[in-house]
Amino acid sequence: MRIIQVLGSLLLGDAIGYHTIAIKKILIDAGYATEIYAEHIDKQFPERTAAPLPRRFCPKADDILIYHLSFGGGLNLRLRDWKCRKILMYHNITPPQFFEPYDEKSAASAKEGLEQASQLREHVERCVVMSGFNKRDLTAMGYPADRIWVMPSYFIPFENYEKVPDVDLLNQYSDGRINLLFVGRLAPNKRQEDVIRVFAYYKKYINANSRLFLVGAEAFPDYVEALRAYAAAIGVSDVIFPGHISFAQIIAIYRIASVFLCMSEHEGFCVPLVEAMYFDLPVIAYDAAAIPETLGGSGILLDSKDPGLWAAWIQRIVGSPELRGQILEGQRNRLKQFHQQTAAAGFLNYLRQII
Amino acid sequence: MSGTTVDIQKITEEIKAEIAEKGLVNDIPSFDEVILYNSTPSCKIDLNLLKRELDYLKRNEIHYYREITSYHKWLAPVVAFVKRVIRKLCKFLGEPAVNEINEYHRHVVKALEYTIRALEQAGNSAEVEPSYAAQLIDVHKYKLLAEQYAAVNYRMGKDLQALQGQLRQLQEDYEQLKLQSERAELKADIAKLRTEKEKRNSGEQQI
Repeated sequence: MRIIQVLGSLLLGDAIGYHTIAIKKILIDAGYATEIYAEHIDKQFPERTAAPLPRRFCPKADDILIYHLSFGGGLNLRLRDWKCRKILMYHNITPPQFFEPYDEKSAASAKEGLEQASQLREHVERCVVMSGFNKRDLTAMGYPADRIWVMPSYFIPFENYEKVPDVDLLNQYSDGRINLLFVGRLAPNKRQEDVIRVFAYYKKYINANSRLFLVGAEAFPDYVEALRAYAAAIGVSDVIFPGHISFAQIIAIYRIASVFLCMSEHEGFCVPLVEAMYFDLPVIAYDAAAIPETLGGSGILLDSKDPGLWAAWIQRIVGSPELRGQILEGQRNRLKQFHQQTAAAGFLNYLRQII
Repeated sequence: MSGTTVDIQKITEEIKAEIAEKGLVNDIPSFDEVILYNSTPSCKIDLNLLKRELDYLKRNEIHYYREITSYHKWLAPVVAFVKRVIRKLCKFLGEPAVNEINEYHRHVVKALEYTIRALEQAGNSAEVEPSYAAQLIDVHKYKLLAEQYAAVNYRMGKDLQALQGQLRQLQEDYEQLKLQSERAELKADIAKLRTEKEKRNSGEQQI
């Protein structure tokens, strides 16, 4: 018996990619025969990290196949033909309406993915999700709730965060200004425009000596252009889009940031929130999708997007070491629950139960 | 739950009270507001020109049927008839294309009317300066329109090619018909001449 993982794309710097590789390592350490197959594999991965998915892929009947689903495509339907035990690891699919104004292909892919996720209901034995929000999505599609396991967290590469930050960037922006930060690909569901609006208010009325970093891959060029144009139109300066930067640079930005702002409206889980916790960065987040679950009662969760309210919260955190300390204490406690060895043990325990 | 010790509700209420007390107003336009109302100068639109073009579009509908004429000295009725036959034969190709063009124009008219109304409501009587942001954000709509236009163009091109082929064939047929008609006329003339000659001959014999 082998435990096989199959996914569309294995990408460097992607939470799903790292999660898949971490599962492989956990399985190898536990003595299981395992392999990752993907249609597209980032060339930057070391050899033998994963194998290209063969056109005629025939797992054996006693193999356990973990299928990672996060977008639409022909591969999703091939799952029906594989004669083995199948587990769907559902990472959530962003609703198409977020993409429609900017990228028709992504919107079509998301729509297709949601339809396919629903169609796969009869073809998988069990499901694994990373949040109750994702579980609700699956049950709404008709998946039986008792066959869905909510894994407490993604496997997150905390050891990588101890690498040396980019010194140039660290020196460049450690100038006494308040640095606000959001990390996540520049995508319409992440609502970076709302972060820009909050920052514009903060800079205009509370602290002109500030800047905003919007770190993330520029996946939707039209949306990114609109964001830049919006910042220009409302006359706010010091909004920095670093674009594609190295991991050392990302670490540097986390280290110089004062507050992490998340106004995203759709997340199946939100790894950057956990990263912010790791870097002792107070989080203010909008109450939507799986964000409350990821924060788990820590950080500052707001149910309004009023820029005045957000700006005042930022100022209180920046101006009050006591408040900042209280928030960080809550976040450190929450971070302990993402302990990777505990998560690995939980995952193996789940697998042993179903094997 | 890790349970933060911060009373978020209480602080939020305090902040809201502070905002109300100071009379602070949120004057930062939202992303959507920028799309609709912001007017950073970047280009100018002549509203009168837009209206003139709109009037032209409204007044001029394309018709598949149009007056058929021929300036041929002798064969005008035959030519006109053949042209009518050609038009009838091509109707199945030409008329849907013309209808599609008219439908397309109707949408363009609606879009222009809507745009002019919106611009007038925004208080721009003659010159309007839409924002750069609005242009960028609306880029997908123009792309869609361009794609639809390209698709109609492509279909029309194909139809036109087919029509041209049919027309060539009909022209050849027409030339044949014309030749046959001329031959028939010639034969008729010859027959007439012969009859007249025979009549003349028989008259001479009687004399």
